[in-house]
This record gives sequence, C-alpha cells and structure tokens, in this order.
Amino acid sequence: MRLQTLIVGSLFLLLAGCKISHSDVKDGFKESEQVLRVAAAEEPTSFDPRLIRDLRPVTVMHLLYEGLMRINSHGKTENALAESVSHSSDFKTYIFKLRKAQWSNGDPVTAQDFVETWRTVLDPKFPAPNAYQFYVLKNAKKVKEGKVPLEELGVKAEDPATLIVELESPTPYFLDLVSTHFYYPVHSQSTHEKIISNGPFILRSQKQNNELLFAKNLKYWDAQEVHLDGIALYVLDDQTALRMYESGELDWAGSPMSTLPQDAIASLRHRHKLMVAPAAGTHWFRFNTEKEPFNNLQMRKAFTLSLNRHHIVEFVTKGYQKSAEAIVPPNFGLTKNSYFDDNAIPTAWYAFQEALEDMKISKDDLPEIVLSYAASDRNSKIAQAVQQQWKTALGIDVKLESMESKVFFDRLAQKNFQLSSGSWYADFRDPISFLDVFKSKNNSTNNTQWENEKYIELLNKSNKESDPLKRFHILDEAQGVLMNEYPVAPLFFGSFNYVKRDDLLGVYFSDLGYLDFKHAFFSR
Amino acid sequence: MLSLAGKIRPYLCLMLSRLAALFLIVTLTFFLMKALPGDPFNQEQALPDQIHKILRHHYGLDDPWHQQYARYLKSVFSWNLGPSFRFQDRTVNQIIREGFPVSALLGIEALLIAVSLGIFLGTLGALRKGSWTDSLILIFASLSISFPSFLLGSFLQYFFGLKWGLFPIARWGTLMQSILPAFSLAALPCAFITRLMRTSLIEVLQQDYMRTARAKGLSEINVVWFHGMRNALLPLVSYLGPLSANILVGSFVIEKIYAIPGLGQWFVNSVLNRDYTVLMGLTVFYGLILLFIVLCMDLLYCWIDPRIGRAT
Repeated sequence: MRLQTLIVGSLFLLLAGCKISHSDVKDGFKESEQVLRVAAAEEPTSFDPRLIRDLRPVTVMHLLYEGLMRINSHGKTENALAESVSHSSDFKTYIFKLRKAQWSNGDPVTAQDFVETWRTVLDPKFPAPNAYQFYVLKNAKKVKEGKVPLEELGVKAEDPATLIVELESPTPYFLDLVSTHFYYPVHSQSTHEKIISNGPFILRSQKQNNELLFAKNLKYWDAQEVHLDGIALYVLDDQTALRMYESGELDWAGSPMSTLPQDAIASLRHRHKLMVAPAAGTHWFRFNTEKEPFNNLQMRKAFTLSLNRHHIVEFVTKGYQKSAEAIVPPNFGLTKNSYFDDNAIPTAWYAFQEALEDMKISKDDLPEIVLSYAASDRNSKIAQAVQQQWKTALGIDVKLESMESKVFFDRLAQKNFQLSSGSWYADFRDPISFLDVFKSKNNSTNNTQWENEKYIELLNKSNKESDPLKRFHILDEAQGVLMNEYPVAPLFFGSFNYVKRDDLLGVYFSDLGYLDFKHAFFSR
Repeated sequence: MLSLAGKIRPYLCLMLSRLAALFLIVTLTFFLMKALPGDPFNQEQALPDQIHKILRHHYGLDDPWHQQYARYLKSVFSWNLGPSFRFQDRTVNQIIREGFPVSALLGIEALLIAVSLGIFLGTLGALRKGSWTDSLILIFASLSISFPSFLLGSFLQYFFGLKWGLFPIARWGTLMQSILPAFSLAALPCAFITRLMRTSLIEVLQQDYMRTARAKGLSEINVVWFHGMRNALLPLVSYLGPLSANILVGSFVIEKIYAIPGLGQWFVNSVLNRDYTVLMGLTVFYGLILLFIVLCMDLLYCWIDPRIGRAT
C-alpha cells in the first residue's frame, strides 16, 4: 500500500502547506473597529480617476479622492477642497480658493496639482476616455485635437491656493461637473504600486481579484467626519455575494458595485429585504430612423405607444423602476415629464394605419422587424415581453436577436440594426447630460441617425443662457422637439437594487450610480 | 547499440513538433481574435470618435496587422506580455504570476482527491465486480459525470456553506475555504478515473500473466498491486495529461462560484472584454503548460511500461 500511503500523506502535507495565515478574521482590522464589507463584481479597472470608464469603480474613486466640490448626503453640491468659489458676472470664469489639505504622503494639495491633472487628461497623447467631459473648459477641445498647445487650456494656478478656470461658454452645471471623479486631482508621483490619494480613505492592501482593503485616511482634511475605520471590498460573483450577505458575512451587496441576481429580486422584495435607490438613467429602444420601416415617424410612434411599461416594471424587472414617458428622469428639474400615455393602444393603432398608408403597403408587406439586444438575463426577459405586447397591439411578429455585448455595440456603431435596446446613465446631474446624446447624428452615443436643426439650435441656445430658469425652459422645449419625433421609445427610468445590513447608516447613494461612505457608520 | 544522441533524438523531434504546435496556436489565436467584432473600448456609453481614435492609437490598435503581429510575437518570446487593456494597472505577467499559484494549488488538491479516490473506487469495483459495492460505485460515477460542475458547486455551497454552516461559503485563503471548491472540481475527473480504472483493471485481471503470477504462489495483494495495477494504470496516465493541464490553470465556473482569485475567470472575461493582451498571454501560457505536462506524461509512460520507451 505504498502508493496510497504516499498519496494520502502528500495530501495532508499539501493541506497543511496551503494554510495561509488568516488568523485575523477581520482582514487586519481589530475586532473593535468599524469595518464595512462590500461585494464587488470585479476589481476597479484602475485606481487613477483619469482612466476610469465604467460606473462600478466610481465608488472607489470617491473613497480615495477629493475634488474641489463634493455632493453631500442630501444630494447638494458643496465645497470640498475649495474653501470658497466665486465667478465672474458672465459665468465664464470661476475662481476657487483652496483650503489647506494634504496628500496621503504629506504633500500639500495645491492648485498646481489640478492644473497638471487636467492638462494631462487633455494631452492629445494621454489615453483618457473621459477627456470630452472637459470640453466646457476654454480651448479644451482644440488642445485635445492638438490644434493649440497645452498651455492655452483655460486653467491656471495663480498661487498654490488659487485656481482660476475659464470656460468656453457659461456652463450652469459646471460645479456639478467639478464634483464628479473626472475632475479629481492626481498626485504627479502617484503610481499603481504606490497610490498617493487625498480622500477620506486610503488603499491599505489589495489582492488580485480577491479583496481590497481601505483604511481611514488620518491626513484627510475632514477626517473627524469619517466614522468607519475601514472598508473591505470583496470580489464576488453576484449569487455568491447574496449568499454571503444572507449568512452575515457581508454588509452590502448589489448595486452599484455588483448586481443582485434577477431571479432573487422577487423573493427579496417579498421578505422586505430589497432596497431601492433611484437612478439617473433611462432605458429605451433605439429606432434606426434611416432604415425601413422606422424611417417613418408614425411607425415609430405606433411602436412607442403600444408598449405597456407598467406591466414591464411590475412583472419583468420587478425592481421598483418607474415607467418612462420621456427621456430625462423626472427629478432632473424639467417641468414636463410625460409626453404620451403608456399603453395607448388605440392611438398606436391609428398611427400604425397611418404609417402603412404613408408607405403605401399593407401590414403583410412590412419588412421583417428585428429587435437586437446585448445578451443578458434581464434584456431577454424584457425583449420577450415587448415582443408579445407588439404582437397583441399591432399584430406584428418582431424577431428577437440576442448577441454578445461587444458584438452588439459594434453593430450599433455601424448602424446595422432596425430596433435595439439601450440605456443612458447621466454623468452629472443636469438634463443636458441626456439631451446631448441626440444632439447630432455623428454623436457616437446617438446611433439612431436622428438629427433635428431646431433641436440643435435650442441646445446651443441653452448653453449661452446664464439664467437657470430660462435655460430649463429652453431644455424643456428641446425635449419636446425630440419626443415629438420618437427616435427612441422610452421604457423605464432605472433603479438601483441592493441589500444592506440594517444598522448601517449615513451612506449616500447617488443617483449617478456611486456610493459615498464618507459619513457612513454602524449604529450598533 | 544505441548512442546517447539516438536515444535523445525522438524526444527532440517530439519537442520540436510540440513547439511548432505552440507557434500555430499563438498565430491562430491572434487572427481569430482580430476577426472578432468589437474592440476593448466599445460599450454602452460610447466614446466620441476622436477619443476612441486616441485610445486605439495609444494601444497600437490602428497599426497594420503585420506590425501588431510582429509586436505580439516579440512579446511572447521575450515573455513580456504587456499591460491589460481593461485593468490598466496590471500587466499580463502579473496576472499570471498572482493567479496561477492559486489555481494550481486548488488544482493539485482537486487532482489528489480525484486520483486517489478514483483509483481506490475503481480498483474496489474491479475486484468486487458484480457485487452491490460495484453497482453503488458505478451509480456514483454516472451521477458525478452527468452532474454539471456549476450545479454541484452551487449545491455544495448552498447546503454545506449557507444551510449547515460546515464550511465557509466562498473566498480564498484558508484550508477550510478550499475544501468545497476542491471537491466540486474533483467530482467529474474522479468519476471518470473510477470508470477508467475499473474497466482497465478488469481487463488486466483476465490476462494470462495474472494466472501465472497466482500459479507462482504470490499473495493476492502482490498480484493485484504489482502485476495488475501497474498495467491498469496506463490508460489513466494518458487521461491525466490533458486533465492536469486543464485543472491546473483553473476552472471558470468553480472559481466564479467560490470567488477564487485564480486564472480560470480571466480566460473567459478576457474574451468578453476583448482584452487582447490578456487573452493572448493566457493562451500561450496554457499552451506551454499543456506541452510541459504532456511531455511529463510521455516520460511517465516509459517508466510504467519500458516497452514504450524502447519502441520509440
């Protein structure tokens, strides 16, 4: 029995050998310390706010960094690194006075840090995916295109504590923009091996695809307001995360760092465990307005009006989403939030007949209609539901075509589709974040081939208007123009679904899709 | 008389043909990947064209294909596989360096379970052929083979982890955390080895030389162990080669369910993300591991059955 003894023996040796020191269950934090454990579907794609593209890592950016402004727990933009802000009467120059603050290595945070960071982002050679968010700065677009030198960019440090920013045109949402991670400063010597940051938390350690540990940053200027001692981010599969939450090993699972499994939502809702936060995002179907039959306005109208959105949010997505009859979410300050009736089948039928008349064909001669979407559990369920709705309302068989997401986005970019699912989540809290999507045909986010001169004119006008009330009127009008032509069929306004421990309080869940743990604490 | 060179030559030929195969894999991966629609940067919130161009240029994706291919070959031969497109703070070398040991450790654990349990059950089944023990073993093996690993993994996690609290639900770091994933990973190969071992041993036990051994008066243990097992193990060895390579580089499903920070997940995710450098780096790495293990198996063959070595 030598071989068996050998095998069993080596098995035990191996098991003894792989015992990695893990006696401290709390990952290096003391038992008495307040540590928050959060599930993440994947690690942040980078720790450099200039390189972040996805929504998921944004929460980590708000842990690690502090910008000029920060959104407080009531959703209001307030001063952060800026001690005071003033602007010129034409709203084209902003002066930020910085407070005394330190980087995690002890260096002072200066106005020059901002200048350098923003210049790198706009350097034509630097691969910053979000550079276009800076195009409101004077000369920013020209700088990125390499037409004028970097020094011409409308930002300068008058002294270490004074930052002067010049804009192309008055931008009423500029302070909201500055509070996003796009505008956060980066220390020039920060590398991914040794991250120098200035936010409420610092990165203590990381294990690839496994865990990230953050500790309270004692050098943070507002450190007395930070109550948590640490945050542990575990990289987990969605289903596994939910199980760990159920067994008490996690304090937070689901949005925005991961997703609750679609199948679990109904049962969580039933047990009163499901938490919901509104999202500044709209889901819709895009029409290709240059392809038959959706080059016909009445046809687009018929398809839009015959949807039963309430049915979809109630029985398909189930996550307390709100049905959408406009493209800008209702809490964005526009006065008109509904442009048509949901499930208006008679009106839809009338529009459908009119469309057939316009096209001089009968219903049976309609070209085959294909709905394309990126394969996901939720997308297929929605697609099946609307397929049925169109069949019942208009008597049309729509073919469903699901594909891998990269293939789908490639098809979208090539305008090789008739009807496709899609969504838009705002980058900052202003209606323009949605309306700009459809400003021009060439806009890579548009993809509907829809363009309207009046619409462009209104958006340009709104950019020059410095009175916020008047500006919102113009934007209202612009949305009216868009909704009259149905380049998209709005479906529902998104929501973020998550579960959390009951005694965790003070977390700010931004509708832009990130969490701010600055003021979080356990009430135990 | 064979000279040393003569002895080595077949191995050299073997090595060279394997290397050629590796080169073919490398090339094929490159062109298949280039043929895939989409690039690392296209997604729902599409980028402005100009920014998209800058990104493609920065990563050299707008160069002609032969330049990209040459650069890729160079990176493979210098084993400097470059940064990931998606996880920009990481290089592919780093991903392999940190992920492979985890997958390999879990893989070895699973292999040991599969091989020891499989050989034991297979032998037991063969020796008690037709008895109820044998039937039980066969039922177990059939069940394990037909039960997909994602179901088994989820099942074990739910009952042993969440319901009964006997093992941690997931994550990596302690011995206890590795037990459920190791068993989930071992189930299928274990069942396969059991059946393979059983069939092969039954066949060997009917051979003439077994009767001869018994006639010489050797004890039953001696007969089965030294004369039976050694010959019955041969088919197992050829199965073990690809199996070990497969298990050592990690399983997507098991690593996902149990949150194991191994290499398995990177294989699938890099394709979905069009993370070109990671995808190509991992393919080459997997090719190398497979080559190495198959070579080891060839040597093992010669040791178990010296006739094979002489024949080549």
